[in-house]
Amino acid sequence: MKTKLIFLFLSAGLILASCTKYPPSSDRLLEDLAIYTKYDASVDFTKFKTYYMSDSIVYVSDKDSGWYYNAQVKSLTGRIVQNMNSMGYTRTWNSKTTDLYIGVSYIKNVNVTVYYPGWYWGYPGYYPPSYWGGGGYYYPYYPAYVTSYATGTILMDMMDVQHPTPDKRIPVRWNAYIRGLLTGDHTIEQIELCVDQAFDQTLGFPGNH
Amino acid sequence: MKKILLAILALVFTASIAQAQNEPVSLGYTPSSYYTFSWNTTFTMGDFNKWVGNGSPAGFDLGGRYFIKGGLAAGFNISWQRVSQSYGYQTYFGEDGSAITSTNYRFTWMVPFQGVIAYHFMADKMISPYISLGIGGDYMEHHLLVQEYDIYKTRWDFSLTPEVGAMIKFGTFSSWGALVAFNYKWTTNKIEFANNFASKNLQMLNLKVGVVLIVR
Repeated sequence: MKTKLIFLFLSAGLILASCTKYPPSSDRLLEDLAIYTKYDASVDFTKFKTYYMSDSIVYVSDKDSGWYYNAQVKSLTGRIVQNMNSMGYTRTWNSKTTDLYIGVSYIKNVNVTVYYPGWYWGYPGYYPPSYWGGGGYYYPYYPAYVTSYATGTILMDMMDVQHPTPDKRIPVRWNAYIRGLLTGDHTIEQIELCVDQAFDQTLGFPGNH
Repeated sequence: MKKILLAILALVFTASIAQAQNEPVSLGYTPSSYYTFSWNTTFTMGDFNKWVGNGSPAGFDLGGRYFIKGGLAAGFNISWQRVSQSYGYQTYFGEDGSAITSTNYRFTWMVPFQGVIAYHFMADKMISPYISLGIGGDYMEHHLLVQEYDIYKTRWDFSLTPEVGAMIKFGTFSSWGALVAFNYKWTTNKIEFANNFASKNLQMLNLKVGVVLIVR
């Protein structure tokens, strides 16, 4: 009887030990679009009036980086403009006097472990912070960690260029990334919907409360 | 699934009633104790069902009962259970100004542990139906997986589990048998995720099917 008891408990133990807490990753990690945003909850976004943004975006690959423009980018930046304008902001072409500078970049083909935040602030396409007299960009809030960027990921940063800190750092008031958006697998309509979603889910933006 | 549950329960109790009416086969003794190992399928209820709507067969239960007097027994149950479900595009709003929209995967992992009082109506018979009440607690982890993000809360609780079931011995001289049981579980556990989801007093139904080792 003792042997049977030991057998029962050992069998149960083995089965229990083989049961993992997490479901199989194939069940839960779907490689599809993910739209992540975060904003500085301490700032009033209605105080800004103008924004500056290029029509082209910055691409980053494992070999080089530079400016990028095609029909998808046109729909992407066009939708950003549409969302910004609908919130009452005015697009300006005067990058020196603008309240906000929106930088948009695109991860072309890298899939690397990154040290977030900080690694992409030096992209050639982004205006250097020194352009507005700053010594660097920074996040006034703790951004969520990112372990890797997938191909086609879009990164958006909204810098408050007229209000550097006393130590001359320029705050990033909003940042967003949309994973896998520009892989070529998505339609223009999907791209626009994703940009809309990034703005809609930012509760700090005017009209989103 | 509910029809299957009802059919199993009906079968067990019909068999036990039939046994009672037609000179039930007696073992000739009342076991001193027995141990169970069962496969546990969970069906969430109420708010818990809004969190994860799927029934889940991912669960096991280990139990022991010691007869005190007549059909009255006391013992324990320790279990492992997981319920999970994938959802389409939804937005999760964090407490810190963050938001993420994507497919998401929810699961709750439970480790219940309870003391149990049971009463067997025919403890010395081949088929022995019983009722029981489990009193104890659970350790639960509620996970919201949004792509690479794992947002989770852990909670301990108090729980009550009334149960009906039957122990069916494989043969007069066998020390092995089968167990079929069905229980309702009420807990003080809750799920809270910022502005996204809130619930309290998680409840569920469990179907247990397993083997019994009977000690004379």
